[in-house]
Amino acid sequence: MITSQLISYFNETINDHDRFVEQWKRTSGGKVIGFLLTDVPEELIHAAGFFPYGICGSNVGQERVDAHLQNWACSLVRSSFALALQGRLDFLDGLIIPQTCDTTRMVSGIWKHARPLPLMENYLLPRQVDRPSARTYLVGELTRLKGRLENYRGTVITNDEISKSISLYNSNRKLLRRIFSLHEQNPECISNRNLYALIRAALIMPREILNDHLRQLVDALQQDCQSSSAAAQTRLIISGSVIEPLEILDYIDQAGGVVVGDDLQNGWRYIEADVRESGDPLEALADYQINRIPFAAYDTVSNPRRHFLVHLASQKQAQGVIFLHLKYCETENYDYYDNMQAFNKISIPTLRIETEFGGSSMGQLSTRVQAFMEMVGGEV
Amino acid sequence: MITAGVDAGNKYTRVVILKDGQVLAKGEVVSGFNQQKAADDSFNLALQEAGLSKENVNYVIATGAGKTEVAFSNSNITDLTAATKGAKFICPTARFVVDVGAEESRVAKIDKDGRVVDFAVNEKCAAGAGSFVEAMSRALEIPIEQMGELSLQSTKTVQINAQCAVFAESEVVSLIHANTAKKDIANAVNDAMASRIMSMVRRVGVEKDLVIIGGMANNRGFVKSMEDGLEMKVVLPAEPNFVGALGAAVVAAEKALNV
Repeated sequence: MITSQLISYFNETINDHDRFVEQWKRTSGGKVIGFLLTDVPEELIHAAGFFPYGICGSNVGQERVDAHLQNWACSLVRSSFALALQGRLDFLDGLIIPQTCDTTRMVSGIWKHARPLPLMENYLLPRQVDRPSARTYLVGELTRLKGRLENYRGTVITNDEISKSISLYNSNRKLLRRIFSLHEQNPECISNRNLYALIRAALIMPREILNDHLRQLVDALQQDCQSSSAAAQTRLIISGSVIEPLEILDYIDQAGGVVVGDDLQNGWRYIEADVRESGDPLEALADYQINRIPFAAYDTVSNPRRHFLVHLASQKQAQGVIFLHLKYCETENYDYYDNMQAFNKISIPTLRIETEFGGSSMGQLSTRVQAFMEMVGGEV
Repeated sequence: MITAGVDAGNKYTRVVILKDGQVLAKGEVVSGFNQQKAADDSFNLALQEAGLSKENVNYVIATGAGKTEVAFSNSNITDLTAATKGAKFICPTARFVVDVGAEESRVAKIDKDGRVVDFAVNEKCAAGAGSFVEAMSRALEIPIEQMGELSLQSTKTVQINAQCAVFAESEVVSLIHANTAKKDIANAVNDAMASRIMSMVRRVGVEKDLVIIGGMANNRGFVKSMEDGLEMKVVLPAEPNFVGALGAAVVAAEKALNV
């Protein structure tokens, strides 16, 4: 009972996220700094005393966007921008855009022009992650961003403040990893859909509120898991930019699949590691970023994404891989062939699904997932 | 042992009754708005033809877009599995199945045991489904059944370039206004359709024997366009519309053995 109440709370929060943030703002008097997915150092924004809010795209109409962005820009950015143009992000005091691809690079100027905010900043990730200079560069970039946040706040952000924020975010990731592991052991206990809803909630809720609820949920789930036994499930990996639409997880749930890992910006990738809590906090944040799971626009030459994916699949004993690609995400599409071939070599079947915020055809999606599960599970 | 397969399609609901590996009877009705009624009606038609009652049937499997609405089925499978099982039953050497229905098309590569190795399904677009050809036949004012025969008489290659069914229709209208012969337009429509299906086939990787099933397999012009494009002969079942229901009945027979 406690579990279902808590899960409902998280689902209601993500469904009604703008109202949730507006209410938080009214009661706390705090400031909200939005960011586009992904890899923005939320710990630094939090250390400055602001609430970092991840803009995760939406299913709202994109009629207003066409006046500003081409229709071949990816729907994650288009639908996020649509929220701003419709006034549904008016609670933002600032916006930080990580420049990870052509679209994020170009939208920053357009956003600044169309919906200016008191603090607007780009976050420039290194392009060649392998090079020794990447770390030095990133520490410099984090220092620059820290300076911009200090200017906006009016006072210096101390190392102690950053360390406290790092510790808070680490504790959040630990709680989510614990839930992920309970899900992996027994998806009856927490479904694919509900697990990923929690990770999405983490992007749009202040950590203090989130952790409090997650701790209660972990306690409740540990009890639930003890009292229910795990049925055999088909183990899957999802690879892509973001999990969209969330309904795909329902179809996997219905077909008896359990997602055991991913490289999604709002999935396992978001919670898989912690930031070092000793030494210089900016250097720790840089190291954390350099060692993050690769994605299409942030990849290394020495340990490319396909190696990571194959390793993850064997480590998690995955039986199938679903590539979830956003339409017009060039970087994902260019990676696809190599990634798919890497799984072909080790005889793990794959399925590629192209999705679009607000444009996915659910009936077909359900058939394709079900057919893939029949193929992988070998039931018929 | 007697089993039945129900293919609750977007346009038609079809039933095949199977007894010890032999087709006993078939039923077909328009799906309409009430899928459950269509399933009941087509099942009753088939039972009547076979001289059986529902109680004589050991196991029923549903497939197709309305599969979950078939109340009397024991379980359901996807269209893809039904298509491959049915094609394999008809043609044991089949290694590739192309199924073009009214609203969806799908292609699948299968191994020698009939298991699906890889597949593709048309994305949310009518241009790769039978309804596209139906809309074009309306624009040409000829019955859909004649689209195939007419296109085989074509003497001139005309192209339809639009990737969208609605824009393709406006291209067809432009061709009509330019006094292009109906047979050449019909041929262009079948070529355009085959081109979309072949792009899915190539994505998965074509293999012999290739079986074409679904309503479009009745269109000889489309089949010829496919054979020309793929540079190979294809296998055509006698009643391609019933292969999905047949495949469901085959799986039902396998399941019934394990019950």
